[in-house]
Amino acid sequence: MKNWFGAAGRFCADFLLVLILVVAIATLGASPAGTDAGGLLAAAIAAALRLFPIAAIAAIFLGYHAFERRTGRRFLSLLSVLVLGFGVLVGFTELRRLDLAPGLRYGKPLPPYGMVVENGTSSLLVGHYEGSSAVLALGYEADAQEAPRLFYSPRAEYSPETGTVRIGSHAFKSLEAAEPAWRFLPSIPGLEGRRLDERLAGLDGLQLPLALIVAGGMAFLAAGLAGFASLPRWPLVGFFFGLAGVVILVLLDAALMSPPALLLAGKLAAKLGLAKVAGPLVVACLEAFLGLVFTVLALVAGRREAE
Amino acid sequence: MKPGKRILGATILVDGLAFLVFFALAAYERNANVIIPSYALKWELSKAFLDLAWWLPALQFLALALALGSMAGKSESLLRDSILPGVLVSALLAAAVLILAPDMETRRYSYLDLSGRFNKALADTRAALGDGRLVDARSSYGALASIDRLDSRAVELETRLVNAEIKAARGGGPRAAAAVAAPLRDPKAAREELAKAEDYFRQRDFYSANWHAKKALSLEPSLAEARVLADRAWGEILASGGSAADAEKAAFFGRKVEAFGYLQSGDAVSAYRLFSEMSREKPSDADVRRYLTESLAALETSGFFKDEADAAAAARVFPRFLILVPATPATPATPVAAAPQAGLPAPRGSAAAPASTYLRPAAILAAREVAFTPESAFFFDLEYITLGSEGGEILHIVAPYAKLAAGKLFFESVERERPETVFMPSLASGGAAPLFVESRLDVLTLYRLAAGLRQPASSSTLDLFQGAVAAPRYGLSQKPFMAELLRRLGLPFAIFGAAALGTLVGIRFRPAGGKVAKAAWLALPVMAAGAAFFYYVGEAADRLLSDWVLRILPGPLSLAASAGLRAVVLAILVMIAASLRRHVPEAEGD
Repeated sequence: MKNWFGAAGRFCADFLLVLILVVAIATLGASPAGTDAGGLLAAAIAAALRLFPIAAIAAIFLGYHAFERRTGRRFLSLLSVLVLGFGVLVGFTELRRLDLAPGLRYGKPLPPYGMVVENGTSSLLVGHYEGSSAVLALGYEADAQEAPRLFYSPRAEYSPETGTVRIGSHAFKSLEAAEPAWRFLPSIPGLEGRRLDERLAGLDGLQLPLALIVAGGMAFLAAGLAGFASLPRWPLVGFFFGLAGVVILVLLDAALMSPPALLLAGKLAAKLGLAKVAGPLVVACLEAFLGLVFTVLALVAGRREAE
Repeated sequence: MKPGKRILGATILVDGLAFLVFFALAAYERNANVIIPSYALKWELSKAFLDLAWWLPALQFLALALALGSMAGKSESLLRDSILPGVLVSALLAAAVLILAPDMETRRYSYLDLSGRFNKALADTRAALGDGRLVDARSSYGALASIDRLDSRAVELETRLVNAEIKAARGGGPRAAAAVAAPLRDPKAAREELAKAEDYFRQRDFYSANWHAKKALSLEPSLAEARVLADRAWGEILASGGSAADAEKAAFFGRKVEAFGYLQSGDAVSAYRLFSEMSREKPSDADVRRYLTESLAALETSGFFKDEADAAAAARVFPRFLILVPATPATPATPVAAAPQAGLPAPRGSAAAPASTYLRPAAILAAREVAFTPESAFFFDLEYITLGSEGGEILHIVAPYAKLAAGKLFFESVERERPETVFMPSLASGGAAPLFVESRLDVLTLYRLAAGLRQPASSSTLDLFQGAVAAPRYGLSQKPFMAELLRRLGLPFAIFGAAALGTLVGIRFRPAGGKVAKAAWLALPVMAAGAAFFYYVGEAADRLLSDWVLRILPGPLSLAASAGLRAVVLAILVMIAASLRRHVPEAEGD
């Protein structure tokens, strides 16, 4: 029993560690310059409520090894990570419903001075700002058809509201163009990481039993894959299978919960005479079925020799 | 086999296989419409190398995990014996990548850029040929041929172009020859020419008098005195027994005088243009030969040949170059508390000067493109504004081409093969601009700035660092320089960290008995994918960390801060690796 609690503690620690890492990366990557501590905290809460399934999946994979090593029982290990993973998923799904995340309010960044600021093909350099004046302002429009492309004024008009500096009849933006929003999951053609967010947002409106089933489906699939990944006789292969399994599961889940897949699932359910069954439920059942298959395979396979 | 040999073998095998995979991917990715065939293989090789360099930490992780994960023996001794070879191999790889990657990046970019220019010139030549614009077609074909004359499309176009030119020549159509522009009316210059003609007439130098009078007429056709004087001088020439041949001689002589006059007045470009024309007509004329050489020498001190700029641009060109020209290039910022409106504050986070001090730019330089040779910088569509001590604009010079060399910025250029084509500077407000200005700009510093801003990955580490230090004084952000430096600084840490983790994972997950079934190696692609994912997350985290370090410390201090943070992460990884001995059963020992 002591070993089981030790492994359970390891599961929770893994979940928190991965969640912190994922949230830190997502928050820092998506926060523009000038974001204050309050803005970062708000972004972190929002990211945690968006990306917790990744941490849960990783904890199931990592936790399975801990349970198997400490308890020596495969079925118990599978059951443990399934229950713990399900609990974490359900808990965070409920937290999502509480609408905890405050509105994201990023501070307005100050325009840089003393250095060239590029915005598309135009550039601006301002010595410094004094109220609504830009002192020593020069703008350059590289793509203009004819000279002059370079415009200079010892004191130009600056509008803090619009963030533009006007040199003669030419307006220049005082801030660099915002970079495209950073996404934690890489973009794959036809299967973008954003889908994970959309999937969770779609579940927010579901009733509790349905949300539980969906979370259970994901936990079942993760636990099954974790058990399956530990089958190879060479543990190193199992380790890499585990890493690959996390990726496959995240992508698979995103793919299954994408609108076209949900539509297909709805049609399939209708053909089977289950027209009233919601698309997410069909997908959750499919995930649970796949998880069951992997679990059975993991259980019936010969036990790996002790390390 | 000893761990050292095994680590080396696994590294060579994994990296070699990865290079082949990256090469195959590059070949698949290469678009024949973008990269021209003569650069295809070179581009693929450089791309494969750069991909290998990027993924090297993941590959090192995989190589060490495989090498040690398939070995039998006590984990303590395995760990002890693998530390030195692991560190050496990692250090060698990191050094190789840091040394070779900038050059490879330069090559990759160059192949891409040259191919783009070739394709554009190809399209331009075809369009011009289709429209019957043979002069333009010949010009575009020149750019095409300078990149790859043997390309089948270039050969085909040349045949078409030559045929079109022959056909046009027979029909009297447009030819690929430049027309000499007619001189503009200039009454003042005409008066000066007339005065010269009168002087020569008084000295009984009728040839010169005639020529200068005609020159005055060409500048101001209504100048009746010039017409009279030209006729009188011509009459004197005829009266002294002149013939039609003498008239030709006189004209030739007049042109020599004119060219010599340009040379004496410092207009070397015009002198070179005239002497070149005369040299083609009378190559044996001793005066022409002598003064052609002199005008060529003078040209190098007051202007330049446009083909120098074209040749520099054909090698490598950097777009959009906008800098402040510091008043004092080598000294720290000068405090100017009394007149803040005339200067620039030091950029935030810069170590160059405290925020209360200001830099005084002497001028502003902007160019659509800039290219470099070891001694010169060439600017395309340059604009140069000189500033007064109070920050007011004095001159705004616009030049299609400009050259910076030997402390001077030259604005006038000439076509070497067509000297009649001269590219002159002008003032933005209209009127004549100076042909050159003294400048304290340093070519090497400008190169460091341009390369660090536009293609930081291709700059050497030393150039990047020196560019970062210089950037604030030229009104440029240090961010692109520092971001690349931080990325490079991260590579050795990433490789060593990956090696430490690979060692950990390899020793921790060894098979019972140390024997690996042959079938297990079939999982190698999955293992590589797992390692790649692991590195992808780690690299993203490292990139974000660097980004935030740069936000907080934009200057070179970020290097120290980032190195410290990474050293802490590396130390944690090594400590984890060292602690793994406890988890490995020792019963399986050899």
